[in-house]
Amino acid sequence: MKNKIPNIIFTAFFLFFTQILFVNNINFFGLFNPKLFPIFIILYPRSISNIYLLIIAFIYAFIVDAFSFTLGVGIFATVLIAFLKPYILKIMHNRMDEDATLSITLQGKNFIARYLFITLFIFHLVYFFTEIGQFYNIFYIIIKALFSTILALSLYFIFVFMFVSQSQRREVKL
Amino acid sequence: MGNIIKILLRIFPFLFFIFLEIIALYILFKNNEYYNAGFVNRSNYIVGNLYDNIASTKNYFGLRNVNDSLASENAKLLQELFNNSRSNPFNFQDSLSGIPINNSYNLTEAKVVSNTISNSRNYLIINKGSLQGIEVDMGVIGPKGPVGVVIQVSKNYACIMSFLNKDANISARVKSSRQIGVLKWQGPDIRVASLEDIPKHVKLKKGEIIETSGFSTFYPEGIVIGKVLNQVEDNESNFAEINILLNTDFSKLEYVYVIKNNQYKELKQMERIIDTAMQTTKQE
Repeated sequence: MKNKIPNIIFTAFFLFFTQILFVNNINFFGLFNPKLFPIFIILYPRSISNIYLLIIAFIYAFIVDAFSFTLGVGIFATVLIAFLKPYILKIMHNRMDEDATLSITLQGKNFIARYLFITLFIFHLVYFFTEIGQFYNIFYIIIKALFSTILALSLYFIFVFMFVSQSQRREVKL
Repeated sequence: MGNIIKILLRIFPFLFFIFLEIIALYILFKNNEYYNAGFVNRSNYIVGNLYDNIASTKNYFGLRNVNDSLASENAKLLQELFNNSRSNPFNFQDSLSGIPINNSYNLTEAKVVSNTISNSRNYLIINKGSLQGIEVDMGVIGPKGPVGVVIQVSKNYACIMSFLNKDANISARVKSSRQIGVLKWQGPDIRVASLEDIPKHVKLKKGEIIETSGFSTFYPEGIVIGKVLNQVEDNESNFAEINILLNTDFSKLEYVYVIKNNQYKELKQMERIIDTAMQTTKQE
């Protein structure tokens, strides 16, 4: 419990800077446009009450949005994900502890990958719908959300395995 | 009574969630209005300063490319200068020199510190602001064509609505036939825009040059925007849709020029006079 807070702050800053400095510049064929910052909310420890998570999601997304010039779009999608998170976890893993930390070491690579894929896909879908705001190119939005999710997921795992060593991964619970 | 409080407590997270989503949507719509984009100043000090620091480190890696583009730009300008002086070899006084036609545009160069290309509404931030004489509604061009229009200004930074924005358009014309249309970008390809309002009977060849028309107050006429890529046949409307390959690569913008139109106020005043005149005739 005691070294949870530095980890949370580190994750927040790391995802924020990767998002605005690096990932925001990715735009292959107008289809791969991943968003990494919601992972902070998605993997936030469960010990916190839902209301606080909503507030944190709102503030965090507001800051990221202000720096990526998409004010409002990210907030909408991130708050939605923060609200849906407990329900998705309940459906996917009904025996999980109420205040368990979400990490690769505790729940395993497979579960985290599946969980991240579902939440990130919902996030990207909502994000691109509100951002593009037109329903006639619905197939384009779905394909864009799918490709972006896959890229975001791969980037996340690359970062985890690149920057966090085996022993640290056991402790840090990124 | 106790039951009601219990129910309220149970659905409180949901109500709070709805409340936050409504705020998010409010911010979103408030921020997308073209000129009232004022919920958070996009060119504010914190955002501008961070991107400025990043851009200054990034610039070292792109110096060679910048040098090349500056050299080619210089060559073009020298050529223009040379041609102009040759066309007027005796430098005689023009009898119409009282009319300030040639001094109607002033250019200020600026460095791009932040540039988005992946959204449907994209913006740039440059490192010149109101202290350097930048004002809202000034046009911005890059080395290879129009870039956008200034929409917000802070002391040292300015926010530009990029041409890669659903709300942006440029009054353009075909260079050879002087046919006038409106150039818009709808995405997702950042190199391709579409020219609208061209009558269907006009057939454009691939590679024909599209330039600014000079009808808007933002850009002077004759700046090359791009080339015709192909013509989309659409049976429903009376207008053809033409895809244009843009000259400017928005992902590689480093230096831009902000254009000050010295006759902007006069033109706007004229427009206002016409508007009021139209209204009075309507009322009569």
